[in-house]
Amino acid sequence: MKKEIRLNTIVWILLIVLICISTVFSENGFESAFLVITGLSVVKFISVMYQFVEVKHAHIVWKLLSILFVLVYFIGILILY
Amino acid sequence: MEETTIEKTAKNIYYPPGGILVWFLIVLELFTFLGAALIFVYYRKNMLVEFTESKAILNPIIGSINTIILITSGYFMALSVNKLREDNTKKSAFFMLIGLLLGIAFLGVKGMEFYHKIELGIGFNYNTFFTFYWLMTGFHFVHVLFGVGLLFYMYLAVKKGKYSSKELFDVESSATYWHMCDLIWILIFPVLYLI
Repeated sequence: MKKEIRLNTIVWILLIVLICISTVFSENGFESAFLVITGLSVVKFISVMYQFVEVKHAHIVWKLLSILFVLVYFIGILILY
Repeated sequence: MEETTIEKTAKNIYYPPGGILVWFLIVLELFTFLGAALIFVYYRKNMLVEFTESKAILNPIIGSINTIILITSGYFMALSVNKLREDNTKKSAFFMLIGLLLGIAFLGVKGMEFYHKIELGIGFNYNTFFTFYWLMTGFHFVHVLFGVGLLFYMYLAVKKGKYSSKELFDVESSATYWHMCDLIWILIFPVLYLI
């Protein structure tokens, strides 16, 4: 359980860093900022899903469904942006 | 020896973390917000000037701070479940309380943002961008509000010792619901505030 708590803390720090990076990219207005911001959102989504929701322990179907879902989000934004 | 909830979830497709019922809700909600986010991006492409000008009214720094508050709340909720699995109900309740207070803080910041928009006369029918803004953030707000109520109920129950490492299904389901609020926000925040 201690390992799990340590992992939660690492993921939490990672999420905060990613949120800050996304904001910096948004504020600086790089041409391809949307790509980085959307990509980081995918990483954030999978991190929360796997570590906090504990999908990493779940049946393979739920793991695949989570990844498929966030890929639809990513590809959808890339196409429609 | 009785299986732990983690062991059950790994083997059984009908037993995702938090239980199948809350997952029906999660799948439904996530796909609804996914659709809204993608339609928003589609409209943005066709009404770029309006959407760019409207986005400039929003404050991404405040939005990011609020995102950190919500993610941190989810982190403490995850810790609370971990502590309950160790039968440390005191720490579990304490972490849940922090998660709950951060959830209230998120609502407070969001409430102030809504108030500021209303003061500026930016309502639901102001323009297409803000129709999406009110719909997406408004629905998310309602979800968080319900989650705060749920966490408060769970906090009281855990504090009273109603749950333990052998009986924590309700707490896991509530935590899964709470993380769903994080997940929805992770999807809609960058679309509305950042890109």
